[in-house]
Amino acid sequence: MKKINLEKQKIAAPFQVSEDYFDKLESRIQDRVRGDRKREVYLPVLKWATVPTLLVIFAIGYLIIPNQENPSSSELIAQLSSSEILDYLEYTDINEYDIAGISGSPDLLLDGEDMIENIDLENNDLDQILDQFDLELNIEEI
Amino acid sequence: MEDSFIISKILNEDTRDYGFNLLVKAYQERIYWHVRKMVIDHDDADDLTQTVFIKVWKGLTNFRADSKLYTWIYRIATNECLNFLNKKKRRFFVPINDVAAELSEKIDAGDGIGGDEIQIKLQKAILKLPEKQRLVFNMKYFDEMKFDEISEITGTSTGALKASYHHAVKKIEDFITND
Repeated sequence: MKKINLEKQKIAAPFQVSEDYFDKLESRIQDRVRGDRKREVYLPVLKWATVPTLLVIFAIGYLIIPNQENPSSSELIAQLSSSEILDYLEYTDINEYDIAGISGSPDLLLDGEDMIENIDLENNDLDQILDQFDLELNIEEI
Repeated sequence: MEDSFIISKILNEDTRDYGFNLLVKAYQERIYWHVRKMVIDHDDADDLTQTVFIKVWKGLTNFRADSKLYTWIYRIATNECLNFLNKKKRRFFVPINDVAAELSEKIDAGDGIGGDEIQIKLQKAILKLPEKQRLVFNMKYFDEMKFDEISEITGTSTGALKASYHHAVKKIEDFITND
């Protein structure tokens, strides 16, 4: 091929999109921002609800089915990191009311502040639980 | 639409949504093409462009009036592109040449690719460059940005950018001529 001079020759990029692509992109961006806002409303509540709910599920699973060879759902959940759980919750329609629905004390669960106040844990105990379940909780937020 | 007008709407909490809508309208095409030239694939570019604007939205409250909207958005987009390509390398444990080969195959596959032979050759030649040099070449050659602007976006000195760009031009010309 004959020598080209890019400084003098302007060659366009060959990429293409459909004619209405940017009209649709704009509305999809707006949709994602709206979805992100909804998550911002729900996530702090879920963050508080998730940890104690998992502890309750794990405790029930441990007491009721202590000697099963197959891992229980609570054991499987306990193997997940908090970020994996939060990622899952972000992309499902589950909300705090669904979680409360499977809890033995839904009213308590939905009222995050009272629930936390009612948990009487020393810092060492809390650290131990967090280590045990690989939970990455920002203590300062408590 | 002037950036200063968009910024004034963004900085006012009551008009922030309106300001963001203006921002998306003003920048979505430029950001999409900037991203597309780096990741080649339309679906990847589409997803990354949306991610860029989500990050822009989340960062609006921290946006300072003395910052340039243009360079701020481009910087977010540029970082997203580089992170995406790095993840691609890490995920498949492949060297950069193999990522470039994969992107070159996407050009050959022709989905969302038009253009003539020289346009295709130019893109394949650009893929032979290291990622950051590719980025500089794209911003200067296609987007016709000034070196000062590229410097603000990439955080690299204008001297280094000029050297990188001219070196890239020579490599690309040699590749197209000798291929």
